[in-house]
Amino acid sequence: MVTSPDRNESPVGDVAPETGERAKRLFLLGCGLAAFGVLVHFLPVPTNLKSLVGAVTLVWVSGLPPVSWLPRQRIDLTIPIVIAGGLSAGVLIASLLLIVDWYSPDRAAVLTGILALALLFVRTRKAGHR
Amino acid sequence: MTAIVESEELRSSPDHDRSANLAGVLFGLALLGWIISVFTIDIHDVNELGFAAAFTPVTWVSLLLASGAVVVTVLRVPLDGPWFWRLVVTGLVLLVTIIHGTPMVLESAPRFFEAYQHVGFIEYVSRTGQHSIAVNFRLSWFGAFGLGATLSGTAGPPALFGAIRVFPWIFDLLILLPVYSIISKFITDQRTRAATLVVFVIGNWIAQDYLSPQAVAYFIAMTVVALIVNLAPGDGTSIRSVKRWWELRGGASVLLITLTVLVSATVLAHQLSPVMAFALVLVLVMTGWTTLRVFPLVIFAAFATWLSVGGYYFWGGKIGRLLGVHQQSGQSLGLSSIIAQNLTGRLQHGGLEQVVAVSRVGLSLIILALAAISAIRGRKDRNIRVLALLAFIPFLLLGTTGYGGEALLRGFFFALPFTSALVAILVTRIRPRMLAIVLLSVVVGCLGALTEVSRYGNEKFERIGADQLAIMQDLYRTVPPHSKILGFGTSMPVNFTKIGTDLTYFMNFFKFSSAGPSGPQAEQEIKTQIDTLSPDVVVWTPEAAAFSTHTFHFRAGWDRPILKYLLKDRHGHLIVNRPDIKIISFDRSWHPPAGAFSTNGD
Repeated sequence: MVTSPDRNESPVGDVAPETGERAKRLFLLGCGLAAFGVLVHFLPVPTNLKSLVGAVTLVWVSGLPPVSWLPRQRIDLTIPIVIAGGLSAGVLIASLLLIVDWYSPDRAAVLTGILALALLFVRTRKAGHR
Repeated sequence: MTAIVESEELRSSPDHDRSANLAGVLFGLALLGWIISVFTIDIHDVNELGFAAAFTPVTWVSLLLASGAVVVTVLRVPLDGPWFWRLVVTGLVLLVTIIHGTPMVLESAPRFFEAYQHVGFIEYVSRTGQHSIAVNFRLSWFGAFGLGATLSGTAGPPALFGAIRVFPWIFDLLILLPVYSIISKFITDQRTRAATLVVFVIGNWIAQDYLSPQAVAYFIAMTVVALIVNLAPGDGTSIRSVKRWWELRGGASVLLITLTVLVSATVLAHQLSPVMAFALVLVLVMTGWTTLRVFPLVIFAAFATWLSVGGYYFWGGKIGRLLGVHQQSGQSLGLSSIIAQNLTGRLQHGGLEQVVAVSRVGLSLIILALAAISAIRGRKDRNIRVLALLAFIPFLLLGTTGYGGEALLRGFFFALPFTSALVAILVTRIRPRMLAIVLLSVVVGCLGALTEVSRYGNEKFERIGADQLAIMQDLYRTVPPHSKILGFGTSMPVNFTKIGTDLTYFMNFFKFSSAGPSGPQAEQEIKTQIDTLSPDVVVWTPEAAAFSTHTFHFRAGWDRPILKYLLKDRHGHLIVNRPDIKIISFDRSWHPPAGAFSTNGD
């Protein structure tokens, strides 16, 4: 019924052969989501819907970098990583901008999205060279 | 263990294939019943028992059917087929929807007044780009408000009333994912894992799931624990073998960076959650469940750093706040008072309020007692001992925070994943015979009803009417800048906008002599402080006055002489005069245009 902790269950640090391909897929997913969020922003749809799409896509894009670096996991752990990662990135970048007195919602959103995509790109390059 | 093996054999008999069909039919009927309920529940029937009082027989039947379907699924549906987890997920969504989705759909305006203040902080950050603690000390932990401003501001000014409405339902579903990830490392039996999630849903009456920094921080903290137990598992060497324990330290740098980012976010978002995360991770480290031996120090360092810098305004000059002393109405509350406020104080009501208070304490005690029995029965199993430790450790923090009356609730909430697992281990030992299934279905249904009463009962002051909200929006739109607005209590939709421009005060935060707000001098003390403050606008709602009575121990009916004083002696001008809200102006230069208050018809 209960299990003992087993270090072999989660190969932390191991790089599966398909890692490069997976990183590339995640990068493309991030780009696609970001493009969708930006596109909706310019469509003639209600503001609340724009906000909802913007918030969801921003959290999702900024939560992808840890997923690309961490070993592949079940969906019950991957989704919390994406959500918690996205929320944390938003918290940290907003906090940083508030501390240096340079905060605006647009600036924070753009910076968070670009940073996430940059991290995903770096991961794609690194994984591609393995 | 023998019983479990026997029950597994029993479950694998051929007639269990029919159980998936039965569960599916029950879920369908339950969903149909809930949809009918949504159209037949009369919101005016809501009383001190909360939405439970307005539930129709069809609603109760749908809750019972959903409970029955969940029990059949967890105990009988074959594990080797495709339907087990599909049905479990369906059941969890349905239970959360019946318990939390009904108020979400039916309330004319979303509750809860604290959430409106959080919207105000988000709007303030969005509008000004600042996090001034001069506005409110809670802006010392501005991370979640900054996040809210970023996310809601992607398409213009924040419009978050819709988010207040749906947030609890979404949170109560999403939090099940990290909870599952955590307990799946302790429990291999899938039925017990599923049962844990069911117990978590029906045990979650804590009301810490509204739009708030603590909800965000709770999700991140639970994800931290899930990541640690899944990605840096130890070999079980506990601190008792110090040398070997220390040798087995370490972890992937990527994981450490990710965890540090997550923990830093909780530190910037909420004052208490990092402490709880620290406690849980410490247990995992000491018991050898993770190799990240020094990670608790990282959490502590991040927490202490921010408390010393950003959080200084919270405790600077008030060191007692860090030692568990909480201020209320000018009086200091120590640990014993906090416990009294949480337990005995909540039981000192009459009528239906007493029923709700008893249901809250009773539901909590049932879960804690079952968890304790499970822990005692399984004390020889190391994993169960660790689960018990994880369930216990959050309560230790009760005396070390300046968190006031919510401390015990937060402790219970952080312990809930682990108490739920212990209860589930106990429950799934029951042989899945027909009688047991029927009885368990009734028990789960009754516990679901108790959760509905506990979560949404009693606090009539939590409810907010759509007209009240519309009038407050009109007030903020028309009142001159820098007005002093005084409320009869914090329980009203205020401060959701123009924080820092208009100053809001509340009578429940007035200072009183040693006899407190129910003393013989209280009425005069309130009048004196109103005179000293000299507000431009006073807002009364029955919920605000009731909140001051219920939570801050003002005398029942204290608001009537104060209203009379404001109107007769201080010559206040009634701008809005409704049974559910009154706005009194003392600013002779303020003349709201005709029709400014659109719902001021009666």
